[in-house]
Amino acid sequence: MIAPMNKAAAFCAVLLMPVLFPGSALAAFKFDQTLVEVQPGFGEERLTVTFPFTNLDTPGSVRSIETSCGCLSATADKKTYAAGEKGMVTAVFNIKGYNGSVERSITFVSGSKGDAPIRLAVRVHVPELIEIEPKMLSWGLGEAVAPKVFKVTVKSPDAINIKSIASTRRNVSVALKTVTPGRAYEIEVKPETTSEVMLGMVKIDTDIKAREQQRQMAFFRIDKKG
Amino acid sequence: MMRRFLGICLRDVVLLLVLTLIAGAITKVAHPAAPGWYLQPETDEHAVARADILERWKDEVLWIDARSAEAYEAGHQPGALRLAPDEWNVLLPDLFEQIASSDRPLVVYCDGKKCGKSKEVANKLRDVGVPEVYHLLGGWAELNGK
Repeated sequence: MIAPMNKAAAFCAVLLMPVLFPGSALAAFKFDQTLVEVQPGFGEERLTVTFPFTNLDTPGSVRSIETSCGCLSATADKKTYAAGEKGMVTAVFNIKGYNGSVERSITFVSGSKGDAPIRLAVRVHVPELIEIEPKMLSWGLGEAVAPKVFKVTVKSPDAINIKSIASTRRNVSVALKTVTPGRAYEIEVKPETTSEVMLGMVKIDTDIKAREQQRQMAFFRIDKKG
Repeated sequence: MMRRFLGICLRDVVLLLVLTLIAGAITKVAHPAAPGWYLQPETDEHAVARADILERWKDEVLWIDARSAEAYEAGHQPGALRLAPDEWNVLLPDLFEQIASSDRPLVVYCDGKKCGKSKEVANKLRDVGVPEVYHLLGGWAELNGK
């Protein structure tokens, strides 16, 4: 009586193995790391990152490599790999126009149909040419109408001049003060009234050479919380 | 007597389990729309499906297209504003008034299931104070019936 039960349990365990431990059954390609973080320098537009891997089991091939955006391309150094052979996926990330932290992914698929894709990610921390603090100026509904100030600091090694500023809201005035030419500025923002909820932007036009970065932005709002 | 009864029960349980596994495996292999076993369900509260948009807002949303200019020119949702994350500083200043004063919820879409630009743009818009922003599951491929 006991023996057939054990057999049944063992049979079930075998059947369930791929469900409980799918990775162990299918993962032939093992990457050293699946996330690469990069901190580019000012003005860098193109980054190359590599994802080394080892083909652990039987000879295998790369079925497809897809990226999550047109700004990222990725290729393997070849199509098929012997058991135990090392290889590499090379990705080129065009970061032109990006600011702050950006993550893009690569989907690597090996072997036959049904194999789990491996997600590789490139996380880039693009340095901001200009730092604006705070990110948002807020007034509470009904709060006293007093001006508040954005501090603009140039982080780029090259000087950046603010050519003009403008508010997207007619009833919110903005004024530019140069603290240190090319390095530091202050933008004073003053709403005419705080009786209405609103969300607005200060458009900041600069002399940054790259068109993608010429226009900078700062935000303000009037809301219930303030 | 009791041991025999338990044995029969266990045998039936095992039989049912095996049959279920076989049925599941056949479905996985043969069903044309079977998802990959590795796919995780989307749990983001700001992710919306096409059906949700029709049901919740009767399609009255402000569409934001996070794709490239070429893709947008080739076809886009009626009235969609193009706002790609890599052209954020170029495009947003001219669109912000329209976005900030919208009385409709914003739904951002990009190319398809694997593209993350829509989620990224939606997050960035929320970061600058835009309150009701969602990203579309399936993207343009879903809207375009592909």
